[in-house]
Amino acid sequence: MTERWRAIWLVGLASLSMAGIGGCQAQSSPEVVVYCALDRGFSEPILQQFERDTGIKVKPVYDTESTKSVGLRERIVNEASRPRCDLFWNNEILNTLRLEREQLLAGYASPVGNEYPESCRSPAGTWYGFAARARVLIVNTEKEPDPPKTLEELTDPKWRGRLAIAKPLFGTTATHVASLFAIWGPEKTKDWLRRLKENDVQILAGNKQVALQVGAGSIAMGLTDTDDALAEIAAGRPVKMVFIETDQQNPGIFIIPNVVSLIRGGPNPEQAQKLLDYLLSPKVEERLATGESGQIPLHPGVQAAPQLGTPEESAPLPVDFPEAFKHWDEAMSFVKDEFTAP
Amino acid sequence: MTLRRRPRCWEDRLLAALTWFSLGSFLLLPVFWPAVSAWADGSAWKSAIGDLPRSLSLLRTTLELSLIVLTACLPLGVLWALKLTRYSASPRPAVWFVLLTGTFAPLSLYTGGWLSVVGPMGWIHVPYSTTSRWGGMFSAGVVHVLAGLPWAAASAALALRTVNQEWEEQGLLVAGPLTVLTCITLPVCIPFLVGASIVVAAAPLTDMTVSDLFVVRTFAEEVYTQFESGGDSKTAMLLNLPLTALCTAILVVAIDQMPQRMGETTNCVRLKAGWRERTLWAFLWLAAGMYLLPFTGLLWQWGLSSVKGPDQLVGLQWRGGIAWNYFQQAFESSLLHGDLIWDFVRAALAGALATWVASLLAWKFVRSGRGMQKFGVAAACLLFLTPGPVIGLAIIEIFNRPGPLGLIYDSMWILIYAATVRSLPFCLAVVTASIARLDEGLVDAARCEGASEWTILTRAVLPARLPALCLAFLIGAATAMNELAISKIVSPPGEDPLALRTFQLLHGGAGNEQAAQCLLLLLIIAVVAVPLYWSVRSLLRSKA
Repeated sequence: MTERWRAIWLVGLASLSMAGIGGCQAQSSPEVVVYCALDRGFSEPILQQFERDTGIKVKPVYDTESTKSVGLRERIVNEASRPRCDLFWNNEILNTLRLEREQLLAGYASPVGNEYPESCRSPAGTWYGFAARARVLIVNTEKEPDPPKTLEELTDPKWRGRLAIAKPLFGTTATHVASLFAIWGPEKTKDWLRRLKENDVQILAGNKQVALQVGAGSIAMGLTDTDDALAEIAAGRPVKMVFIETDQQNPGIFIIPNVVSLIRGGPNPEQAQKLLDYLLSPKVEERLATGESGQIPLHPGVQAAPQLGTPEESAPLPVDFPEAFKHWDEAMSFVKDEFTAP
Repeated sequence: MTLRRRPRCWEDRLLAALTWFSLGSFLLLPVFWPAVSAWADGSAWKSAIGDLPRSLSLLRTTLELSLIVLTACLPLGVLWALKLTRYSASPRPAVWFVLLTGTFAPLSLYTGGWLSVVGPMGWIHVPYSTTSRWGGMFSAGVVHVLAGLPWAAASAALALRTVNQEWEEQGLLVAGPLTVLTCITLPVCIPFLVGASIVVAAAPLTDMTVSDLFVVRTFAEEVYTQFESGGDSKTAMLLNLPLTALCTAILVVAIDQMPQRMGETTNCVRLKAGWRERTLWAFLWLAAGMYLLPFTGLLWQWGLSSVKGPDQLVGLQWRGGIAWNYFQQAFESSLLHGDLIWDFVRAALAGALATWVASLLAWKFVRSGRGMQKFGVAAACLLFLTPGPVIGLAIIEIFNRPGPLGLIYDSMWILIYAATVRSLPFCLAVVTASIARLDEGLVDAARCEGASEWTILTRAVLPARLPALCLAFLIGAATAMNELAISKIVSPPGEDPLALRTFQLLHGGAGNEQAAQCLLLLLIIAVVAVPLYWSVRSLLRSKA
């Protein structure tokens, strides 16, 4: 056992290490990489079903509640020179529009996607909206029998310290804030946010935490999404959903769709297209509608509808998302200064 | 020990190359890359200077949290260490086993336990408020104290073992135990206790798991939030630098002041407990009992089921069947998908790699001059005290590029690298302390026989230090198993570390699944703690 043998051992060890790295890269079966912002509990079974149906292995990256959608969007931007994500399943729309502006999305004329209304898809085929959720006020009925009906009322001193929202830098809360910049205009929205802060609004890590704290009765009410509120109702907590309107001039329910898009230069474009078509298929929308998350289907052919208890007179609030997207940077800059500074 | 020699054959040159490569890639790059890149960024400087109120606010919150942890952990830790090393503490092996399990249990586990007690679904109802100054801070403080106390106790116990037995015995001839403790024992341990303080205070400084969940704005949380929101993470890194540098300086000075006998066996003086001590022990056991809260909380949450009336919840009930189902589900899904197996593989590889790198570096530092040794200590301390998200950002900047580095970045090796970097300071401390006590005669004899440096290291030094290497491996593996702050940022698609999964579940609130995952994680740590205990024991009992 001499120097030669030791050298052989060392070279062998190095080769094995490299083979290990390479082996991890080698694709023995077709695969697709998904960055998924929808809650893991709702999206994982669907992705697993796709795996079983097609034999394509899905490699997902899930979000955490506190950095919803924005965190994954930043990953895609950071990896732009060497993309490793094939498909981005966003649970809101504005961060997908930001990716589109940066030309990080690939166009694809999805045959299933084209069955959706025009307002739900990009003309260039860079994104498709499906299965929406609504922004609601979850209210603990034991703590607050007479909740407010509009966002404007939330700044009333009588609700001081009784309202919770998720960190407005991430997820649907950020989308909601940026959309208010488009609906109300920047000055009015900034003023509203300042008054909300002065009214001791509680900032929690995510929408799920908002729903949980209201369900537990620690906080009287909170702004959250329908799926989180439904989970509390299903658990038998003393809560109800209020389909809160923006103000008297802007009636209607604020609805945010899930959005799927392909990433430009993603390593598995063919498999990604198959997954995109699968996610947009009516059966997936039906599953999301009838499942625990109670998502609102947007495909005209889907018959199933979630039991949300939506007021009959309420219609969806028409939101100009492209306009909201133009206000994103200003809105987030304001939120950072106002809600993350001393 | 200072042994110097010149490289003379290809093996020695290979050893030198490997050592320098390890020094650069595992110790220097992860800390100096972000520091230099933030330092060199002009716009980051401008933002940092222009936003002084934010910096001061972050500094205040970080220091407050660290202070809470220190104030609670250090006195309790020292008292526990005294009980373990100077008084009878039966059953001693069981106490050490619990201590080691607690030391390597991840923050997410403590967080899960605490949420099971006071969270929205916990069994103690606490009104929640983030607007009050101490809203999230209280919960974050409790979690860090729970996680920091075993570290404080273990560090203080190691420190107390270094005190000269004769001094204490002579002191006892003329004074009582309390006077000996306060006038002889503790003053000798001051450098160790300062070091232990920094180690305990490091968690709030470097981790964002707890601060993210309880919305406490520390420096590590700021870096993480800025990165995840596409904000100015360079500024956040720059803001964090002074505090990290200050803590590093204190730790380096403390290590420098430590006697060179750390870890050596001394037969500790055994004192007899009087009524005062017994009262104190009762208080200590009471304090230790607070660990039962999160543990019981997890057990309770594990099998909890709702009893619903026609409209709403009418009560809660614990059912063994539900608990077993969730545990089985967590275990089977981990095994079926191979996630748990891959967790073990990654932890073992990271532990082995960290031990090997630590061995190379320790061998280098021990044979080098004082300047190089101090530089090594400073670099290791800096690595230990750098926030996880900062290291994560550095890893992305270094590895996320085409070519071989990109291949590593896309594979599980990036998680192994991250875990290795995180556990390296601990492994380095253990291996260096052990190699520094090696008998010079052994090395000289090997050298006289014409052995190369490579042969001396691999055939003489490392085999003679096997218990320390085993300990370093176990510490590395346990740290790797729990690593989250970096993995959260760099984890490649398809990789699903248990710590990350537990963290994601925590964000969904404490529930059955989360409790089952936490208990599974605790079980794994407890299994690792058994050989860890025997390694520590054999190391402390072995003569140099």
